[in-house]
Amino acid sequence: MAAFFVKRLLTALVSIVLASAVVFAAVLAIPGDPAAIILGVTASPDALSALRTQLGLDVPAPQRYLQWLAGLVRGDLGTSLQYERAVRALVADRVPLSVALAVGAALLATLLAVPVGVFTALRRGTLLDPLVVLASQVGAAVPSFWLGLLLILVFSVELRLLPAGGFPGWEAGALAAWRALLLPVLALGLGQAAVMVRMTRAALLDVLGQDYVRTARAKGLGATSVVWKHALRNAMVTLVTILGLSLTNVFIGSIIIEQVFALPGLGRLALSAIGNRDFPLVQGVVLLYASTIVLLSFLVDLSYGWLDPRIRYA
Amino acid sequence: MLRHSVWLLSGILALGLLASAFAQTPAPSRGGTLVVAISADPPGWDPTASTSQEIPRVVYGNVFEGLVRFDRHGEIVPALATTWSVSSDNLTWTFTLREDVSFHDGTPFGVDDVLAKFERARDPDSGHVNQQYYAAIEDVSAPDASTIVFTLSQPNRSLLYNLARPDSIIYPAGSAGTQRAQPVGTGPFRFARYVEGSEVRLERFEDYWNPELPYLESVTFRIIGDPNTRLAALQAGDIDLIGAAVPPEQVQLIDAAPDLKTYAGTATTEITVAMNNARPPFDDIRVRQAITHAIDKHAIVEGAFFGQGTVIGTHMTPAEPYYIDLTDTYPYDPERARALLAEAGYAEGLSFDFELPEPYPFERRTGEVIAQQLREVGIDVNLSVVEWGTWIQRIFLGADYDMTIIGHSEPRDINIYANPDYYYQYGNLRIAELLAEAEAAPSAAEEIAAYQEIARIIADDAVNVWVFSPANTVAAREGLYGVWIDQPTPAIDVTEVYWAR
Amino acid sequence: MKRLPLNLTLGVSLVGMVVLAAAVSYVWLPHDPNRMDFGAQFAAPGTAYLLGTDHFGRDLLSRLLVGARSTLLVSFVAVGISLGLGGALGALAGWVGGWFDEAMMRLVDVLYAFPAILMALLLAAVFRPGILTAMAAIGLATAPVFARLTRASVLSLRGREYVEAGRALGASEARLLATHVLPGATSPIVVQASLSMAIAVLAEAALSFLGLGAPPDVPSWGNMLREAQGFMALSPYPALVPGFAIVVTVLGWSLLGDGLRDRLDPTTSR
Repeated sequence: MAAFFVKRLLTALVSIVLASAVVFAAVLAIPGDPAAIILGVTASPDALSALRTQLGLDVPAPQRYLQWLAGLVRGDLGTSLQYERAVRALVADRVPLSVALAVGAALLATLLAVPVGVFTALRRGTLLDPLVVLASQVGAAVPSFWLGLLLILVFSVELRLLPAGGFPGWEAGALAAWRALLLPVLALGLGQAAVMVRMTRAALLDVLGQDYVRTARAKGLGATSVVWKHALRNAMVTLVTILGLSLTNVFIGSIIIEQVFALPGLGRLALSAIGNRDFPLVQGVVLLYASTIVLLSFLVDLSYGWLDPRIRYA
Repeated sequence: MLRHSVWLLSGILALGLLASAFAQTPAPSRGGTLVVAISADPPGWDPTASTSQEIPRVVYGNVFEGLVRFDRHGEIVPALATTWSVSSDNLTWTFTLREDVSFHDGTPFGVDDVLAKFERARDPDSGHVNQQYYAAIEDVSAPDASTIVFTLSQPNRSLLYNLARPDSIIYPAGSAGTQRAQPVGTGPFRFARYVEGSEVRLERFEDYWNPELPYLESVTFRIIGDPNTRLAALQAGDIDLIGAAVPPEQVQLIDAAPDLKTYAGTATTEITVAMNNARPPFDDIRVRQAITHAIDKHAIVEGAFFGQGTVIGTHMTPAEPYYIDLTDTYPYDPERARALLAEAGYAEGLSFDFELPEPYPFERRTGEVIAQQLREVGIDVNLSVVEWGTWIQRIFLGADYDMTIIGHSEPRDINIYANPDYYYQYGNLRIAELLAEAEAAPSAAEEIAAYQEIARIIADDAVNVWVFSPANTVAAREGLYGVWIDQPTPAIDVTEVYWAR
Repeated sequence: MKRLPLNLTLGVSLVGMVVLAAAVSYVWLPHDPNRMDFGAQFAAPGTAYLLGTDHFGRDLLSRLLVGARSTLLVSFVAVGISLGLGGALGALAGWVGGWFDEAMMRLVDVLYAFPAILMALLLAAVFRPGILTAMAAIGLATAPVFARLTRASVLSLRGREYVEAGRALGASEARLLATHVLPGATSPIVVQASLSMAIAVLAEAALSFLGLGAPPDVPSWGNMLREAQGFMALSPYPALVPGFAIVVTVLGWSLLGDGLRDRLDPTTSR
């Protein structure tokens, strides 16, 4: 287990370092001069070159990459060119919203999907089962951003119950903040729930079909007891994987949902940073996304070992 | 019929006058806060460090002031200078400074700050933008503690106008390095807090030189990029004011709400289809004329903008003093467009790129219609959207493009046509001469004549297609008074804004 | 002859509908999809315009039909890239093994860390945003699935007796891989390709919705949605019509994938 942990951790770290190189190289290849964008449309060449030096853009690229990596290790992501503030602070301002959105959506999806998935798995062979499966398949086919538009159409445009977008800030109070996040969380979470229903159902059917469950049933244990005591616990491994995947999915999905609902989260920060050629900020945010995805998959792998000691790691 | 509508029109006008004369504008009252929507994060807050119009929209008149300033009608009025005079040869301008003015950081305002400002404004290495505004200034001196004298190398009619621009604001001597992040000025509001991508908050400056102003305790500019979200925020009561550029399709919706109201004002924005005059096929005037003939500007304003805008024919808007209507120079005439294209050797059609700037929805919308109109005369337009960074870098600074579209919102910016390096790649020596004539003109009438001559030359040369000037529509909550409706310069100046009791 | 499963039938019909729509758009359209009718903006579905019009008075049905083309084009090419790249990486890694396998899999992990949106964001900033960057981004971002799938298949097949027999008979490595190992991996790959089509259609719509896909005047469904967002209070149809089309297409591919799995690989059938 310890050996597995170390090996898996190393792989994750290697992935993150490789990702950082990819991000840096991509950003390097982006045409466009941040100094020109800051100075605007009537900048003189002299002013431009002065600002470039001031921003540290005249240092050779490999050296800049190493500086950046060294900074990353210390937790320093550099300074945003546009805002003249530490990238770390800018990112820290945006993280709560994106995390709230992703966790809210994943939670909603889990709370909806697991009971429905279990329920349908137990009713295999009845008419309900294929209906739920089809419904979940339709649900999974609905793009989250379109669902977002539909929710805006119904709850904001027609009923005027909830804001169509924007975020009042956490200091406006939890109620106001969650009112602004309700539709985005629904838009992101419902589609994910549809995906998870099918996965949960499949995971449970898998376990229910195994010998020890059959034996337990044969011994006369009630269906409920079998499900809760044996099947679900053994299905946990798969469920955790599903949850991990879902978190990754909603985290990525939040980029577009932030755009639909004009929420100031990490996704919009990334989009605007690219538009403004704010290279340190682009690097920081994109790497943060990539690292989070790597870490989530690392955690899912770890939880395998923890939940199911039978699993042998090769 | 025509007579009828004229009578009807004057009737409506008279009624309107009566109505406004009798309308109860409540007396100003102090207190309260205001939340205003703006559309983007500016690149820093120093208007002398960047030409981005998003900066003055927040800080002009609110945080920063210059010697003189524009009022809500575009008139030049005193600010940090109380009076000024000009010598008979128009070469010496003397300004008397206001006394007992202090900056937001508590330091007193004085001649040193003014001298430092104009030193920076004329130092090519200082990073101060738009230095051409100050090119005629030979020397700035302070004979005493409350007098500033500008000595010019040649008469400069637009000096006072340029001194009122956002570029001419004055901040404490030696503070240029910190102004981009922490603006400190003399305005009625001081900069309190900025949350990137979210909002900027200004608070009442208790030591403002005019003890009557401002009325509000604080004002928050909330950054909401998407026009629909702005509308939703206004309807929900999260914001009180959209200070500029409410999209035309929202006007009816806003007016339908009992507690909201829209006001149609003017702005100095020319939505301009810019062509690379140095690059084929645009180096052939017949092609440029054909393109102008192919574009149905009225259809764009009526159809895509619900009639809320004014069709224009040169780089000037009706909101500017030199305005001249040149919309008939090359009117909409697709047949003529086809004939001109054939004459230029493009009977089989031609193809070029047309790039739309991502952050600007009005321009994108106009561009889409224009692309379609050009296709109808046989031009194969490759439409694409470019990010702002690319637009500035490759198109604007590099002049590497075929055709693009942008709103030029700076007032009195026709001088750009004298610059051969400007991204239109036009440059006409005659225009530089006329500009010099205008600056040295002995009378206002001659100055105006020179500017109108420039307007005519560029219209005849079909340098660009000037499509229309969008109405500046402002949306506000009922009970809010003193808002700028017109935009003589891009600014949401809330100095005189108050809530009715 | 086994009866076709319901999901396969349904999937084939839905995907067929979309393909048909794209095909029909080349020979017949009710209106020019780009013609602007400023007299008939925001028309509700009716006789003049069957599905209504958008903010420029353009016919939604015509744009919908033409939009099927770019949806299919982008998703086919993207899945092609994904399959080609991921399949090649995975097959090689599994076949060669050792450090090469390890290195390839780290590469795949890195690809996995960049979802299509981030990939498209970076590509669109380096090059011009457009259909090509969208296809490349979706293709790259979805390649890891194929890489892992082929690698697993190859690993499980390469020790089999018939492969060893082939080797003993002196067949070249490439020949062994091509003739003996890869065919065995076909079924799961075909199933995954169909499921990946569903993902690619969603990703294409998302990218053009963000302005990272087809040029603005090309009637792709994502573009139509982005433009419709500003006018939803005036008319819901421009937002409803392309959305339904996306749902139908995605559903079609995922049902087709499930159906294929049931049919080709009965052991995992549920």
